[in-house]
Amino acid sequence: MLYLVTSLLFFFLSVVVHIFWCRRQKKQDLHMTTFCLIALTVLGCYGMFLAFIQKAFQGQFGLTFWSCPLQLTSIVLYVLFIPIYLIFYFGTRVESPSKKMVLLIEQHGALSPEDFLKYFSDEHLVLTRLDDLERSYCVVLENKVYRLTDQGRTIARVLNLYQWITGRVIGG
Amino acid sequence: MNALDWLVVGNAFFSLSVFVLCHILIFRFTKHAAVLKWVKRFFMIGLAVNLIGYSVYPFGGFVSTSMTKPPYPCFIEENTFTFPLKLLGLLLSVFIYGVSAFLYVLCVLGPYESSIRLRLIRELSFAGLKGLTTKEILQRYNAMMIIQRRLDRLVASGELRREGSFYRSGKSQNVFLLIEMMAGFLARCIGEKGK
Repeated sequence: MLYLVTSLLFFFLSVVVHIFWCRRQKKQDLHMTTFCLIALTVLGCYGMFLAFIQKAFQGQFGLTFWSCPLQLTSIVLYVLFIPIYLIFYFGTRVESPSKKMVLLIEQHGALSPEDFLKYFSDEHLVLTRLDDLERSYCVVLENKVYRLTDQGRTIARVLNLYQWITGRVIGG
Repeated sequence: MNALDWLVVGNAFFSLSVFVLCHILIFRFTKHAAVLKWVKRFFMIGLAVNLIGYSVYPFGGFVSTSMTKPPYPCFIEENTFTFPLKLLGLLLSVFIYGVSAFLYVLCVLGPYESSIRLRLIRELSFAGLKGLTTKEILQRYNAMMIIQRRLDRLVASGELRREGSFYRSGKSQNVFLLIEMMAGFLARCIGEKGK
């Protein structure tokens, strides 16, 4: 249990460092890569801490509830918490249509599909995302025609493979 | 690392692989709207595998205090783990399984099933080198289709309920509100107003 608590404290430290880093930035961009770097650095520190504990207290820890050395479990938990934090962090900047629809129904009580169109237009849902894809070099716009770039084609191939494996209909 | 450590992590990821396997084998026969309902079922199957896998593991069991070695090959040689420790191991294994299944749904299954960007990439890949104009894209995929697909999914999962042509909240506390609450808290910490 002590290992787990320590691992959580180290993870909490990486979150705190990231929050302070974000607060100091002028541009309100997503700093996801920064968090990954911070989290991996802190994970390295945690690994060194584990090695130190192992060396300093070798054989002194019994297999009790508090002292059982669950190193692998604590590292796995730490690694799993990284994408979980990133999901919530991503949620602070980007809103999913499903989430917005549920929140709109919470506000208004009841809505029809046509009512939703007042809040979601083609421009809001589709065209802004096409712009995003263009900015991330997945799509190129030439003579008012959108085409996939090599990067976009690679993503399409991965999606085709996933569809072949799972047999799902096209998503969206 | 001790044997319990390996067991906790190994059992959790074995359960996850059962969850993923169920999804690969059975999802091809399910309807698009029923995705969330089936994900919950697969999760419960994985959870059952996790609980069974852990409890039948030959380290003396929860109730046994026997110090004898099991008759079959086993990497846990002695029954050195106390009941609270075994219980902690079980809870951790379930927790790791739950978190990793949650991540699989949100990072792999979710984007495939519901990402608008990925759908646009696929529509453009179907068009090939010819490409698509904005008008052609909107004929194939538009706001009304996006809204209707989401409404169908949310009704099937019980988040919303349909009354005639209107949709109402289906649960007093749904997962979206919880995520919104946590994301809002994080946004306040970071000092940003969520979009």
